[in-house]
Amino acid sequence: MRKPFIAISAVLILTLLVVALTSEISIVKAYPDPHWAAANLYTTNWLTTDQEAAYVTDALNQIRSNFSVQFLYHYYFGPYTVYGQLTNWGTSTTPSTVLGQIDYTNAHYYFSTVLYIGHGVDDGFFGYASDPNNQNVCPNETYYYGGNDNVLAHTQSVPYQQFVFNWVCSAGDTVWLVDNGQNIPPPYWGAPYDWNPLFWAGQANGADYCWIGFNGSSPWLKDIIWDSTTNMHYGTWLEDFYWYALVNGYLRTTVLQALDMASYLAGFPNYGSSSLATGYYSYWPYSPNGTYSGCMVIAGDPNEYLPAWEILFP
Amino acid sequence: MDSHLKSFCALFVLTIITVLAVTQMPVAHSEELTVQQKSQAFLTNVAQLNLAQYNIQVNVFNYSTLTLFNQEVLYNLTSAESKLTVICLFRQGNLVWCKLYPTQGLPKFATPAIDPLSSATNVIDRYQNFSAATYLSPMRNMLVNAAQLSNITSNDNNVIQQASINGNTTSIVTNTTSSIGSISQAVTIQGNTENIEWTSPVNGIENLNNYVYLTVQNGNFEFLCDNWNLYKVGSATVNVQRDEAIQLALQAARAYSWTVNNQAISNFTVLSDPVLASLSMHDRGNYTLYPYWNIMLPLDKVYPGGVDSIRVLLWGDTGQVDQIIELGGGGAPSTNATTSPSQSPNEQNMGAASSSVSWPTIDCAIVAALIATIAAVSGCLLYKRRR
Repeated sequence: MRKPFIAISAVLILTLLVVALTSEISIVKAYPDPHWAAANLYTTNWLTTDQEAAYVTDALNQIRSNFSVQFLYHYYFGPYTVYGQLTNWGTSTTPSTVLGQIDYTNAHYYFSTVLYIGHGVDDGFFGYASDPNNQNVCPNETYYYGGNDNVLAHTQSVPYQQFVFNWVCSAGDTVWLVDNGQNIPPPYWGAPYDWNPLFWAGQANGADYCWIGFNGSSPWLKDIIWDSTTNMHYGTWLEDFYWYALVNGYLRTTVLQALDMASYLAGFPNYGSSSLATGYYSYWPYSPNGTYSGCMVIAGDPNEYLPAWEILFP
Repeated sequence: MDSHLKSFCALFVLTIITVLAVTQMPVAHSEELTVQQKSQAFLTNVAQLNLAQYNIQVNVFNYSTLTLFNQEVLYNLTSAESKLTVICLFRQGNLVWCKLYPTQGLPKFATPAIDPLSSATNVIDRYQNFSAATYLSPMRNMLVNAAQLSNITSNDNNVIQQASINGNTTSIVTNTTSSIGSISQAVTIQGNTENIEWTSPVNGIENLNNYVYLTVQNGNFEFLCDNWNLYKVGSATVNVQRDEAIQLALQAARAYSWTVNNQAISNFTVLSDPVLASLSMHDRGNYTLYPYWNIMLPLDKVYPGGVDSIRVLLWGDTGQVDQIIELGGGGAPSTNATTSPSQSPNEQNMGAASSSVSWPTIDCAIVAALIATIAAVSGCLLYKRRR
């Protein structure tokens, strides 16, 4: 009779341990699929100074590290990484890389997130340059729209790109551009229209994705944040944003909460009162050089959150 | 069923109930209990959230190396019609930051919404009762004056107020001198959102480091940040006046160089006109403020890396240069820069916060150990009884 008592006691103890350990941790009922989330980080080597390149490299490495420490603890299969695909493509990024990864993650992952730091123009952004120091050798452009290789065509039918951070110029422009006296209408501008389809039929309300970009210029990561009392660099702000969204992610920190925390650490009361949201100036040294204004814009639902570590039950 | 098995089943059920009851209790640390109580009092008495209408889940977390805040209280409030998250940040046991994040429906407040300025005044009144901070009283008075929306007002209390309307945004800027020193108030009303910021100029020098910031949304509380006492003033004495500061900046800039493609750029011409120079209070470390010159010096042309100006930051009390930054172009990180890409920014700002968070498992482990002990003792007792 001794063995049943011991067995029952052991089961009881183990059950209680599991209940207690998980009682304050967010619990998700989901099928234990290791191919759950994907994160791809991109940048370009074109028109990027040594100092800016150092800041971008540092930020991408740090952010990748934050993604890499997210684990799923499954009741049966044990721990495995949340981000089944996690690639820092760095300056090897090409248009085909970006488009290929969109297709791949659409097919294999329930959640996909992208960070792209580089240059944007009115209709796309740029990948790897064979001669990055030559301003006249423009790398191929990944178009937001049009043609046969555009982002729109790869994302429209399967919107699994739930969080996209486009740290490039002009990606969020929704205002008319005045160029040499010509008014260029907004439908030809901006990634919200394309990468994450804010204006798709039936998608504008209740969006289950979030997209962040910039109206006008996007600031250099090496620059000190405009109007910040802390002399913090934009690169540090970006790292803090991902730290709070991911490493602190067991709280299910939303995108907006992470924006608030990163901005608070930069010396602002919150994101909405920061110069990122209200506007700043950034210098563009290449032709046509000058100081250009810009501000960060958010499309979709900023209450979305990046998957972080979870405990899964059947 | 065997009587012993029945006893075990009963014990099991009782134990599960105990586990659930214990784990739903507030976090057990006495210090955390304090911040939890404070945050709940703030939400009830200042924000006037109707917490009785919500199911409340609360967690408390510690950040041992952060100085801006070192504790966070996170509420998840749910009801049939409304869901929201509330984050409260504490610094040394004092609530310094609180924001409501509605995710479904509108938050349930105990009082009906009123006009934004009156609502803001009431929030400050209640916050003053909550915190007993004396600096809130003159702010509250300024807010009452702003509510009159007078275009320009000047009175015996040295109050200067200016209001402007741009599109659907109304801005009212007020400066006054009170018993706690100079206060600058900026009210911005845009649609249903009202933002009010109070800052504290020192000796006529702009100081955006110490502030109180309040947001009222739809006539109800949404956000409050109180950094009024975050920084202390080391000195507000300006020993280096504008002209001298510019001369020091010119000397520093002319001795400066930057690199482009491993080539040092040092043969450049700095112009002494036009020069932009602004003075503000800045942190020199340990949250202590000193006068700080921000000087922009133009170059005669665009140099490699696209550089066409030099920014020099120097201390207004000592004249010591803090940073030199070439604007627009490349080059290696400034040798005087306080940060560089080789250092992890998170190490500077977040510290070891990621490893210092008080994980929920600590509290759960205590509960688990308690329950395991109960189960083991019960098993032994029943086993002995059986024999």
